[in-house]
Amino acid sequence: MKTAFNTIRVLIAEDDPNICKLYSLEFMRHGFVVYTANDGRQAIQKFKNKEPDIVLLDIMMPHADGYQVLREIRKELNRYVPVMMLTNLDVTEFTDREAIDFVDAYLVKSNYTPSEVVERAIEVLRLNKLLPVEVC
Amino acid sequence: MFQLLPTELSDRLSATLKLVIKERQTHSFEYSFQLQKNSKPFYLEARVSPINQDEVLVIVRDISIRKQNQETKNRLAGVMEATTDLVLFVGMNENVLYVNQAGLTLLGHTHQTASLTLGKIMDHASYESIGHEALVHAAREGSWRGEAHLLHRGGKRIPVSLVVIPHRSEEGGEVDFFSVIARDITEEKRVDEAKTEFITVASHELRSPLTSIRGYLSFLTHEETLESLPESVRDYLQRAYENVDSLGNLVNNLLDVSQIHTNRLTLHRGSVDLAQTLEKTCRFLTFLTDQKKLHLTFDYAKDGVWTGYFDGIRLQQVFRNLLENAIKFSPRGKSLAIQLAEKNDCFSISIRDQGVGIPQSQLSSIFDKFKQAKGSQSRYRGGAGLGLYIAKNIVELHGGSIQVNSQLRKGSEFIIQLPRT
Repeated sequence: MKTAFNTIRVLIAEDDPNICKLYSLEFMRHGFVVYTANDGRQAIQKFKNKEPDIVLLDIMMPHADGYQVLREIRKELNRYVPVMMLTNLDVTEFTDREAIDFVDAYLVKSNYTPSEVVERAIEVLRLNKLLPVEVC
Repeated sequence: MFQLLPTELSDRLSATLKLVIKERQTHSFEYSFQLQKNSKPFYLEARVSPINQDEVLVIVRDISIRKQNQETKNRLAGVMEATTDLVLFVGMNENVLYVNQAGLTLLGHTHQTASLTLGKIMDHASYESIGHEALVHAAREGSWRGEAHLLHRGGKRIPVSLVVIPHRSEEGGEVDFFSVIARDITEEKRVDEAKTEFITVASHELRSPLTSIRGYLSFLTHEETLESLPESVRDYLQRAYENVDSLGNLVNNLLDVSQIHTNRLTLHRGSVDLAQTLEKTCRFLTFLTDQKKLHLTFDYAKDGVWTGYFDGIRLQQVFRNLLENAIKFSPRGKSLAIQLAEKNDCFSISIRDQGVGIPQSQLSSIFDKFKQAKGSQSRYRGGAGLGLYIAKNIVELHGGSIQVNSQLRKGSEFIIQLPRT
């Protein structure tokens, strides 16, 4: 069952090392290939080098924030890479309200367990036809 | 004759008489006296006019009432000029007829100016939204209270609390003019904003460690991990996990309240099926009702149309809050009934429990912020008393209403009405 995910590359951009490890462990437990970035600049770099299938993106990060990373990701016109915004900011706290139209999911981190985040990622991948529907 | 009068009065009369005879023209003076010490003073006006060579006419009038009115007027004017609140009169044509000293200072004017209008002294947005409306409302209801922004001559916006009162020359007649009293609440607003900002920052800072604690605990409570642990450790983990959950809810509620406070709580509306939303909420809570062996029923017409233009996530939050309360305060084995119905142009959702009930004296305040029913009968023990306040605000943002009926030891019923369109 888990082998179905071993071709899917996940980029986790998160500056809090505890949370970064948390999500990495859960995605790896499900068999995903995981790349991590601890700040915005690294996230942009790894997005270009590792060509992930989906990106988990924090908003408040050093060097470049989530909005800037998102803009860089959306410059890629050859393929659409789904982005899940994972933050501890409420939607109403968004300083860049338009960004929400360019993400595939928006989750408040403290409201979800890692396995719920993975579930959501699988859902997003399916909606974007990056996973066959019957795989679970 | 003068011997009957107090010495001072008779002296002044004699002097005036001499003057009138000499100058052959009318003279008058005012005189006040008290019959007893500390009694109300009498005011007299004496008027002495020449009639012919050796006759004069002396008229003495009691002018106490006129004097008292004058004094009251002077005092009122004194108060008006001394108060630190803005006081102004505005006519039906919205021209400003008078501004007191504090008002002139607040608005940045040095002296009374004839060209002020309501539109000129109010911030444009305030004037557009409430300027005219406040006058109309005050004329109809007897007064209007609210908050607005006034405009300083230099362009600065000043937040104020406002009271508008209509004045009529006769009862039931047309409004003559309005009086407006405004208090500068810049400082209050600043403190309020700082408080909200603090709650927002603190909540975000709390959420990061919460994410980690909740996440790593969830690893330990994975089924395969749990099986290898002794019963007592499982129990400890379960307790820790439940409490992290409540802490997370509390942080979310604090953030919601700070958003309600600053009018930033906004709805993200879409097509929402209320029957489905309620079904989903019930499913989510079955583990709680099972624990207490509660009999949960959800009743609605299966062939009905229950779709409206709502914020589904926010409504789910409301339903969940009400149901969790009902579950928390229901004794084991009791019933919990949810009903979805259509009434007039509204959807009506009723949540009825057979719990401990809420004392009558506390029914009116349970939707207030941080208010909880007190005492051993407390229905709302646990939690910070924010849930119902948030629920009420979310329902009202939808244009709906929330009500509660309750009987002590018999149970409570919460009724939500949501407009169909």
